[in-house]
Amino acid sequence: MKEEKVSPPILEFKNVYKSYGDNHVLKGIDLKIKKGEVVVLIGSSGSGKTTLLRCINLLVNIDKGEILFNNIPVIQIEENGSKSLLTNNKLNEYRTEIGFVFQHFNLFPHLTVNKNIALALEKIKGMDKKKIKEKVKDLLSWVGLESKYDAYPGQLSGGQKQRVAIVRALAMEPIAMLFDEPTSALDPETVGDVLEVMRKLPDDGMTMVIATHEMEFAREVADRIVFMDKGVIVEQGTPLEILNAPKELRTREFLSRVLTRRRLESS
Amino acid sequence: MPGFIEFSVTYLPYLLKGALITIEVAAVSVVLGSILGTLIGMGRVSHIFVLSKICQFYIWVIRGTPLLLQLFAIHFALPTLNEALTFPPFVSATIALTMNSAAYIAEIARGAIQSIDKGQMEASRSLGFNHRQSMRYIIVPQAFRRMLPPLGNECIALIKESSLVSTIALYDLLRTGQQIISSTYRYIEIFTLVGVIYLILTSIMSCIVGIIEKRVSVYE
Repeated sequence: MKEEKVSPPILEFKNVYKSYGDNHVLKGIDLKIKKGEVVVLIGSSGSGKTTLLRCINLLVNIDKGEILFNNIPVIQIEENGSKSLLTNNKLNEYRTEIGFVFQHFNLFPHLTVNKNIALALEKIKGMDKKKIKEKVKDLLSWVGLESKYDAYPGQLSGGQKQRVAIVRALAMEPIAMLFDEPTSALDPETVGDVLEVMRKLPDDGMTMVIATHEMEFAREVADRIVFMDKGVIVEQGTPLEILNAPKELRTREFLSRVLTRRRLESS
Repeated sequence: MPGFIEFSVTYLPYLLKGALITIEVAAVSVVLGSILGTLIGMGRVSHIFVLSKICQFYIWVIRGTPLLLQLFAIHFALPTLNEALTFPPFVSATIALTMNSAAYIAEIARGAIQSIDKGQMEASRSLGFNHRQSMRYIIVPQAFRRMLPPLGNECIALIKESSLVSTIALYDLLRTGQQIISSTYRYIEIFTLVGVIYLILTSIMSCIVGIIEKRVSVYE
């Protein structure tokens, strides 16, 4: 692993638990993510990847444990139930520093592409309208969608929607970007366009946490791959370690399942 | 029916004047009722428990009692509590219809807000908008578009229900018709004319609803 001990973690999970009724989704997660690191979460559906991501920007509140951002606890729930959480203002501020890209894009259908991106810049960052316009145009051309400036989300393909969603999150200039299975809802032919955009992000030093089923993409961009199963982190390491020489039986089983499916799909 | 045409020509202007009152009462009530109803609907889905319960109580009472009773309560009962609460028939009628339609519109608003995909709120919150901003910029504008068609139907219902105001001496379309009957005894002609005018009013309204529905569906 590169530069393991040099930079302090920007995100840290300490013994995090989360359950929905009897369904224990996260069972004692410990995870440190460094600034500029690209961490890819893999694991079958229901392994807790999505919940882990949602806990980070507090779309989901954990039941127990602690999550720290830049060494400051954003949520802390002790064994005895005592709770500390960011105040509402701080919480909203914190969320602007974490970009979130959803599986189903969640663009605002009543607003044009340009407004989807501009709204938060205008209302939260209070940016000047002229500057916003420039910024939105720059970002859109960066993902090859400058011609969609005035289009409504309903007029875009899935891949285009997801690229707009990525740009919408990026426009806030977050410190970290979270991706929740960003290509799972896409037609196979548009997956490439979205991955291409995501590939460009680490070059600018963006910290990224990505839940995905795209193993080849994970191999290519990840600094570290984390394999989750039934709410625990089973194994983590470099792509080479995890994908080529997994130590744990569960990891090997998962990978062989995924790879078999891939072969079946491509044949 | 001898001389129906002549008869109509003579009395139609009076009926149209009554129709104007009907339109006025219905229009004012639907506008005020929409505003009040949307607020109550938002209160109904609020996370503030007390507010939500108060709104639920309002909807329960208003929808569970007859409009005619509400109209009488405002026009006849309130003045006995305090003389300052004596209103002219037009005002009483507007208050009663506004309060009544607000309860129905609140349920329309609640349904529309709850029909917006949860991902919209999540996306908005994840960008850093607070709950209020998310409601204002993301949820309510989308919900409002979904409210428009049922709101149009509520408007049609209101035009018809407004005929109840004839009971508190407001000279709307129906009351004007009854007044003409009391001096001419031409029941069939007058009720036919009154019915036709109501039909025209509600038909125009459904045309407007149709146009709105087409416009609204553009982006979805």
